[in-house]
Amino acid sequence: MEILSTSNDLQKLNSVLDSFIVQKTIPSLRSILEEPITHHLRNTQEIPLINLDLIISNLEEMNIMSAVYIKCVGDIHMGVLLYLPEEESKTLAAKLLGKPISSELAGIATSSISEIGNILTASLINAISIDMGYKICSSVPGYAVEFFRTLLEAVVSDFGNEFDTLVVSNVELHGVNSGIGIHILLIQDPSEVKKLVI
Amino acid sequence: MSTTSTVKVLIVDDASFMRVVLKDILVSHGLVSQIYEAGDGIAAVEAYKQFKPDIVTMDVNMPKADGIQALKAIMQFNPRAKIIMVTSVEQKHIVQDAIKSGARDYVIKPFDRSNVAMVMSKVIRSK
Repeated sequence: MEILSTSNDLQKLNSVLDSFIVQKTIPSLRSILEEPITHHLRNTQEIPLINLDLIISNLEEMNIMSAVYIKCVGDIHMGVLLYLPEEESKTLAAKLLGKPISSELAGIATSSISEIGNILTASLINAISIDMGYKICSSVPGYAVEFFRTLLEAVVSDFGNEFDTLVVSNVELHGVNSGIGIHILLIQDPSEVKKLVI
Repeated sequence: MSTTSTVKVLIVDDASFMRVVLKDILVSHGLVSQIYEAGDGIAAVEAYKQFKPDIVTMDVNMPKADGIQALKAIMQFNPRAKIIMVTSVEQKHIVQDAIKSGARDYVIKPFDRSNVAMVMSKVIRSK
């Protein structure tokens, strides 16, 4: 199994994505949550498909996650998986709806989480499009509550990768006042890396 | 704020959450008296023909038929239809396509509430 990206490429990609997140994604989330946002782009790595465990931390392994998946196609092929622990997603939905969520997430509460995924994904592709001139379309968001491993396997399967590896960037966004933490995995074909690190 | 408006609006968005947010903005600014909703492009065209609203807010990215397709179908039915596109994607080619197809204006998600109200007022007053 061949790793196609150089560490230099991955480092550059990390830096490019970080700048897009700062330019567009953080302002969007700050506007939605009405509070300051901190972020951390943990890393960008190329991972063999048979070793997805590399992107599953112990904490994520044990938690049921509330997740939104959006596929971006066009000049850039990218999968965006936004996820957070189910309990925390209730806090997020409660904040968005202005009322507590006592039972399971359903109806308008899941719609609010999906829309966060939609808006944050759009903010990222807007930044890429404006900066690099690419035309990118995003799918309608898909929402699910599952163990993280199950989510990840479904996303990788749907992504339709042509290679034995995937390039994965792991982003964390935090609401400073609410403490709400949103994780975003950006998934790309290794062949796509060069398009963003020109 | 109470409303004396007689304006009928059709809110089209597949996300029920966004329909609620938009309703809240329009009602709190006293801009509309009757609100209809649709959750996809096909339902939007049907609802437009049935209710004949004065103004439509149309999400772009939706299942079945997207907002641009629905916009084109409504404009074919009524070339004077007042449609405001609602999008989280501010890519020029999408916005340009919508305006070229007859949309009066557009608003970007996440919403700036006062900007949404301003755009709605402007389009409601337009001929």
